[in-house]
Amino acid sequence: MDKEKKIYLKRELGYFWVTNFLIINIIGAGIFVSPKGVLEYSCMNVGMALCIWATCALIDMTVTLCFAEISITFPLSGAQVYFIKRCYGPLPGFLRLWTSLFTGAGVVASQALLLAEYSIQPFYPSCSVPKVAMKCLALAMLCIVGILNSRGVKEVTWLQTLSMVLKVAILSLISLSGVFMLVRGKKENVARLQNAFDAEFPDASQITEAIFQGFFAFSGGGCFTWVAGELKNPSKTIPRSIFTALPLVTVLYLLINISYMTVLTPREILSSDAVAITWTDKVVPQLTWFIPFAISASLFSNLLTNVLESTRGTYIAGQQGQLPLIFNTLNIHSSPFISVFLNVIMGSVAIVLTSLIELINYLFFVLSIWNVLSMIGLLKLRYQEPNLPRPYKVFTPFIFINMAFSLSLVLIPLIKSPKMHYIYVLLFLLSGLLFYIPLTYFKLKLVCFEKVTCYLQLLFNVCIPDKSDEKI
Amino acid sequence: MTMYTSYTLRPASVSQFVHSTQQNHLSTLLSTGRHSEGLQPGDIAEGKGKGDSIRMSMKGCQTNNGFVQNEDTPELELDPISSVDSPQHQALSIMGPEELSLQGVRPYAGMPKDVLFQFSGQACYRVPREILFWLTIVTVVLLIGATVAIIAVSPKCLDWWQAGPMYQIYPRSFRDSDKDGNGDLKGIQDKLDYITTLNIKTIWITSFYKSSLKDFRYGVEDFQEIDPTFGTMKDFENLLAAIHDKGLKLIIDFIPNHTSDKHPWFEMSRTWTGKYTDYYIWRDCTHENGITIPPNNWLSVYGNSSWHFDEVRQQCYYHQFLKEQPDLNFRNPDVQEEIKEIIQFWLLKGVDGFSFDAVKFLLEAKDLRDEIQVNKSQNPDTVTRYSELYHDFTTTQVGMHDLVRSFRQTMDQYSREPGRYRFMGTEAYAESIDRTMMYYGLPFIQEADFPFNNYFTTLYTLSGNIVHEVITSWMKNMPEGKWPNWMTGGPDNTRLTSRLGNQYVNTMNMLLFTLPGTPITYYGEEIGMQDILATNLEESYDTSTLLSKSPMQWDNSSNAGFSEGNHTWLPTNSDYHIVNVDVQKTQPSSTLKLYQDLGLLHANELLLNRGWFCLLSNNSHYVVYTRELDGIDRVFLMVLNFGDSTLLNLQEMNLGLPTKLRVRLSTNPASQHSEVDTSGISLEEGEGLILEYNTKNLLHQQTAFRDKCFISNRACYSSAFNILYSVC
Repeated sequence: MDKEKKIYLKRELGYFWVTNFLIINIIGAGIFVSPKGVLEYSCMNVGMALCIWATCALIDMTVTLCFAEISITFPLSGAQVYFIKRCYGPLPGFLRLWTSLFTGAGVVASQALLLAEYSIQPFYPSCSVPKVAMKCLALAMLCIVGILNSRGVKEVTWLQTLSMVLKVAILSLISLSGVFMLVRGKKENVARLQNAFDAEFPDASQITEAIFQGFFAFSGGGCFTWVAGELKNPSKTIPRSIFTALPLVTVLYLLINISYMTVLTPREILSSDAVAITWTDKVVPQLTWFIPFAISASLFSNLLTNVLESTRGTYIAGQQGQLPLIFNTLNIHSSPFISVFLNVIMGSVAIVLTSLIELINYLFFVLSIWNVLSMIGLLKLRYQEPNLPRPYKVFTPFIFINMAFSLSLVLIPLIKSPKMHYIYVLLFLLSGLLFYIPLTYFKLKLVCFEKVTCYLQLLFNVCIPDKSDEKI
Repeated sequence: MTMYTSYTLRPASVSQFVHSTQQNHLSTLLSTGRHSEGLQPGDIAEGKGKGDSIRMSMKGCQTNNGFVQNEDTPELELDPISSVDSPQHQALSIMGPEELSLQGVRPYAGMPKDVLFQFSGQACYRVPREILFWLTIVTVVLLIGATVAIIAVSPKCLDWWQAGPMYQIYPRSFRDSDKDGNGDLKGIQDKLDYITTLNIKTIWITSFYKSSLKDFRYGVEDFQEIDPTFGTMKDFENLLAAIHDKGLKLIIDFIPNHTSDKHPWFEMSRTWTGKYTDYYIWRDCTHENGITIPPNNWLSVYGNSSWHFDEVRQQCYYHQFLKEQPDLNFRNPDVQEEIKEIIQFWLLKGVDGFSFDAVKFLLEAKDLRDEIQVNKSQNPDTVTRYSELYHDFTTTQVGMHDLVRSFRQTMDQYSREPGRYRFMGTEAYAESIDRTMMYYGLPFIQEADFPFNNYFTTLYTLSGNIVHEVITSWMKNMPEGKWPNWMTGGPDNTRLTSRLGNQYVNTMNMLLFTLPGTPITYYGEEIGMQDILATNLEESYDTSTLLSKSPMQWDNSSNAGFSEGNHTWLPTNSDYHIVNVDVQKTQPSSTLKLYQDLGLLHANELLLNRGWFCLLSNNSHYVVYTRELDGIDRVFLMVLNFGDSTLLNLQEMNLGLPTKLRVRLSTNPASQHSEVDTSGISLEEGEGLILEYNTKNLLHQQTAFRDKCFISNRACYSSAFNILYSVC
């Protein structure tokens, strides 16, 4: 830690790290818990369900590749926010940031709570976990993740790798033993998959619903846009990582579903609260107690990367002058400490007042709107600035697929169950203007603001980053 | 060390200015000897030396004289981290002339690191930073500690079969979905919404196995098939899925003692086929001119010899019930294995538990000894009624409980998944209380979760004393830590209204929901249905047991909404225009409404589902008891009158009650939400009140009441944290 060490977000993350990051982000708790959504909406038609999983993987691939173009063209941390600003001007950019500020905290809070629930649930076999215990553990985990995150990206790489290995190991264990059982050819196991398409076929609306359900298990593919500024040679690293991580995840998901369906009947899958646990109970009953802990360990890495992601947005906004300067600071580990701090504090508030999470969940609907806008932005930029260097150009129809998909994510819930909540969400979004107009637009600077920034800098030992001398 | 403290470098050149001043501070520090691990010597020197760090930090940004007076060369050398982390030559290189010029710079918003690091190492910033960091660490440790502590002190949580009431359905009479006059599984599924409005947790469907007997109860032909009257296996699976979707649980009857004589096992057994030969209890017996001389004097429950001569096998078989219901030979390991497989079959389907019927008859004495006559002087040839013998050799034989425990073990294998515990209840009717309690198992060997408590269902007269007697006999004899349960009716008994009178329906429901343990309701009790009259029954088989199985009364339409067919298998009760779900749903003072309110209260009040139960007083009229819990300063006091109208003075009991008590629920709609005077509560016949008051002196803590208070699963409540804990 010498004085000469430059402090800025270094381009030091390579192929391995990004692949790791992608896998962690995509595989959450969902695949352990609720592959039932897809099965349910495909009318318990096993073959259909597998097809839907494959479809979801393809859609996810197109979506991810679209974001790859954004983050390769603008390889900056928080590229999504920057991109909106670049395409539509500072105000939409700010609102995009405003959304992710809260969704980031919401994700972090709900993941911490889920993690806590899974680790405590084994001690309460037949009733729900006391809220206080859950909140205590969630807060503790969030603090730990905050501390780890403020130690910089590199420091916790080993932890991420460990957690990714654990995650993939459990999934592989489940998938491979399923495949083994299938190959061994016990009649009862094979029979379930033999006539996979025999059950009744779902109708179109059910298929759409099933695809949505499956897609949630794949979401998180665009996460690298947040850290694009820290990638070594992004134009190579990003596509390579995508083409490693996504096929891997797809194969794992398909195999694990086959494995579930080999061991459990569709009914059992539907009636199970946590399929992985039911599965283990059937196959290796001695390990049943272990699965909840494995799930929470797996969630820990999600928490870790989610805090990382959401802090980049705040950091870049500080740099762009959309948030107070203090957010554009790094500590000596080159970690945007103040952003981490803000994210952890907001997450903690959401954990303590759990009802906030429900409200924030509605904000995810806004994220889909931003996705649509990003896709339009991609097209717009191609038209307006055709000569912009684009090392990677996504196949244009993919943009339209992504747009259509995001649009349906916005419209279908709106039409199906119109609720007042959506109006509240929009109002909330516009409340960002209250901050934007005086502070950013009119550049209103308060004296105390300066002082606070100065004190915070001194207190937390965070400085404005050095100029980067790295080339992309 | 920590992430914050590693930057302790200061420009040495600057420090030289203040060499002399700092020396003093340093020596002060060394003499006080306050070296702490987290802080470096220099830090403390600064903190101490300045004396007033608050004033310093207030001035920090403007006057900026802080760093000048604090820096010192010796300190740099003392600092272990900086000397390790930063090679000396680098430290030296900073001391260039251009660095000197930074001397006049003040910290400002948006400092780059060169400026920042000159100031941020100062104690006034570093110490708070350190404190904040360690505070965070301490908080994390405390939070984790708190979590562990909460887990450690948590009492065993209530399982689903403890958490809410059970609702027993006789499937042939609940709801007919296919207009054939018989209720069916699909009918039950159609009415699940109604069941959820009752705040029921568990649905108990009595026997629906393929069977040839007319009341479709005993005499199963195939334990793995649904009787066509009730539907198909697909219907069952759909029903089960629907039940689970609603968050409810399903338990079913299981009758291991015997099968039908049409069961394939019996068909093969009577022809001496392979392993099936010994599936039933066969004995040689003489049969001449249509008269059988049985192997011994054992009697069927329904009277006459329990042995029947089989023409095919030319031997007698044993039947505890009807001759169409031969007893399985449970001493045969193959039979035990078969039964185990059947249990597994249903558990795999996802059934949440069983009610094991007639388990006391599972084994009979091997040596077929004659049972002893109650009246020894009676001529043995005239002994034909079941009650005329002591059944020491046909019931509760040694080994019977081992069999039941082996059922439990089979079910345990399917109970490991969290939240999927499989419940086991045993029917132990007409047994002494000691023998009934045996089914709870021993401290180290688990058996039934509870034997069904049917003592209320056999009462034909009521009084405060009788009710008190039934309650205490169960609570006093129940092994410690076990869970009680209470039923007021069942398919084998006359309905409550017909047994005791219409005026007691509400009180009995109130009793059911306010006693500790699981309330069990037989369908129709929630609206106060009564038995049908015995006249013009088409069925010939044992009509007396059919009267309480009349179709459920749903609404005013024909067949009481039970069936849209032309006839029903049993006639609907003629009172269905007044007593039905539809009418009572809208009446604010109906039996159904009270039942729903009671269910809601039971579900929402910790006092009722986990609290202490203190039986205070009883006489020929009423029973008085409380429910209370440590940590809740509210007590429920129940006053239930099972006799004529009377005046009750609660103050005579010296409970330290306030003069007025709030009425939480009452069977009398007029007194709902009012207050009563403790010195004189007038109770109508069959009136029940749930009273509520606040107190700090809970009764179970007082020595006088210690032996009148019971709790199954001790817990205390902490309102501050909203948790239950067991160490109290």
